[in-house]
Amino acid sequence: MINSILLIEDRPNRQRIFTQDLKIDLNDFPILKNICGGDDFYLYKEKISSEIAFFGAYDIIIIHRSALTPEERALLRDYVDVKSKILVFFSGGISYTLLQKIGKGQLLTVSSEDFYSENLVLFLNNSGEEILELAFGKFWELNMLVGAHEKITFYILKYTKKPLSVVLDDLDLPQWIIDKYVKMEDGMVEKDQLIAINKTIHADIKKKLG
Amino acid sequence: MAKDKYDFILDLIENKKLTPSQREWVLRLSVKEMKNDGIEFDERLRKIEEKLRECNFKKIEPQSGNSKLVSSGINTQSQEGNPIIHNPKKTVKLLKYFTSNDKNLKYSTHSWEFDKFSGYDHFMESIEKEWNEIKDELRNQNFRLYAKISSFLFQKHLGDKKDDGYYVCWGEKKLKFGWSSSYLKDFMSSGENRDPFNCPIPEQIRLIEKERNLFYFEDYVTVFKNEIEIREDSNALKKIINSLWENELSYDFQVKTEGVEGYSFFTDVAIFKEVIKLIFRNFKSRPEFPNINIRVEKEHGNIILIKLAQLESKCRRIIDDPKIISPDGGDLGTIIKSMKGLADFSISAIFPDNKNYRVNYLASNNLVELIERIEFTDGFTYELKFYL
Repeated sequence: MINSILLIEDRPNRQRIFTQDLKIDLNDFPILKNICGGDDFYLYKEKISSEIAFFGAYDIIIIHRSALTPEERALLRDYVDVKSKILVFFSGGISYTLLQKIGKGQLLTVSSEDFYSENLVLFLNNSGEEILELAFGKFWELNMLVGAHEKITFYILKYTKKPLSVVLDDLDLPQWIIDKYVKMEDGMVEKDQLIAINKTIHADIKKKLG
Repeated sequence: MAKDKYDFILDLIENKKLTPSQREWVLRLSVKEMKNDGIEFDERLRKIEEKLRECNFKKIEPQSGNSKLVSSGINTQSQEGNPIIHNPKKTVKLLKYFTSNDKNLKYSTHSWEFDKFSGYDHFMESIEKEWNEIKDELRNQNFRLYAKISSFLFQKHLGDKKDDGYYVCWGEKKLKFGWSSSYLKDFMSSGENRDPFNCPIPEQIRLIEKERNLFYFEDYVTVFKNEIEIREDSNALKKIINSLWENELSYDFQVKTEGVEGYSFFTDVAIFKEVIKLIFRNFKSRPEFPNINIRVEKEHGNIILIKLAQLESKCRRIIDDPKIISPDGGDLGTIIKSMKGLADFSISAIFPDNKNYRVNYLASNNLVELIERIEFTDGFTYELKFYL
């Protein structure tokens, strides 16, 4: 199997400790090219500035955020935007998981602890096909529906009429939830419309829980 | 006025030895003189004004296909009629101390690597030494940013009430806990291998800032990080725009954004917000142009360019109006003062002479002219250039 996921980590000790806990060796996953410290780390990092097309072989690029300069982060950001790829930044300094659409691509930001978790194992075992598994784990659909339901519930309490684009930004809803549940044209959103969306989500949560 | 007088005035204006203000003075005298000359007054005045503008601003026609400045002059801050030359790259360089692997200050916002510091005192000594190397430079670059960082790191009296009734605090959120809080020092010496980021916030501080929902020192560090950097992991830029759209501009306006997600850059986030707020207030003062476009682009030279345009709106003042070319006060003056040391700042628009100009107020490059002719604008546009 060809490596289609690239992981670039500058702290071998951290990876070793986390993966020991998980009882895995990341080099055993054929789909993953694991660049962990050493000269290779600098080689790959340098390619960001000198030859960004070097990353064309990978669909998903995962990298420790703090290992990069702001310039390198911006270059990767623009690259995934144009090339429809997925970029993952993990770092101890990231407080919560966020998946954002960046032009044609996507950007996932996740804490190191959440990154080196069972979610990563699941994601790699499933050939890296669903980025939401990496972000939110096995029950990502249910997790995200519950999260969205909770957000919308609190949002409704203080809601005053706003444009759809602002509502979506405020709620930070994942794209698949927007596509599935928010079926409305751009314009001002009424409170009743949010209540209706929340009811549908609630019903689907109940279905999933059996 | 006789023809030779008219030619004499033109010669004077074209004389390269005259400063812009001397040329201005010649023009004023000429106007007085020409008022006595009857019907040819308007045509002659127009010609002289055109010459004056050419000489003052060294107008350069835009290149086809772009609006990039082509400049041949050398400007310095002290010269009249030029942008203020400043050095935002230096501010960024200093703020990178908080992320560079080889700097101890990095560990004021990042978890400590094993054995990196023998303890709290060792850490504080290390960062103080580093801070002393850069603090004067940062103070000169931007005082508010300097003061915020200094208080977060070294203010021992955070949370104490001052004589004026206000608390000693740091940052936009006026927080009252930091690296030099005695509670953190005590926490660090209360056991083996203490992690400062896990220090619980003492009750008396939590009580006075209970609305903030900050429970551990890690939460304060997160706030600090978000006050010195627009970060992509919190989608900060989009959130600032949306918040100010709702609270300043109102939904009578339509705000469209392009490319605002995924970028991060160092700045004083509180000052940045204040500037966007001022820009939105200016947009709001012209409700007849309700469409706002905010575009973020990465430019060569590691620049993040943020353009905020009020579509179809034109500048109502002429290009040589002192409020345009040398705004001492007003909102433009405030934005210039606020962004000094943080970002280059320009406006661009179509002016009453139906020509498009960009006015560069703050520039990093001393080859940039105050005024440049450009080919096209979407509407009155504010342009902020941040460096990576």
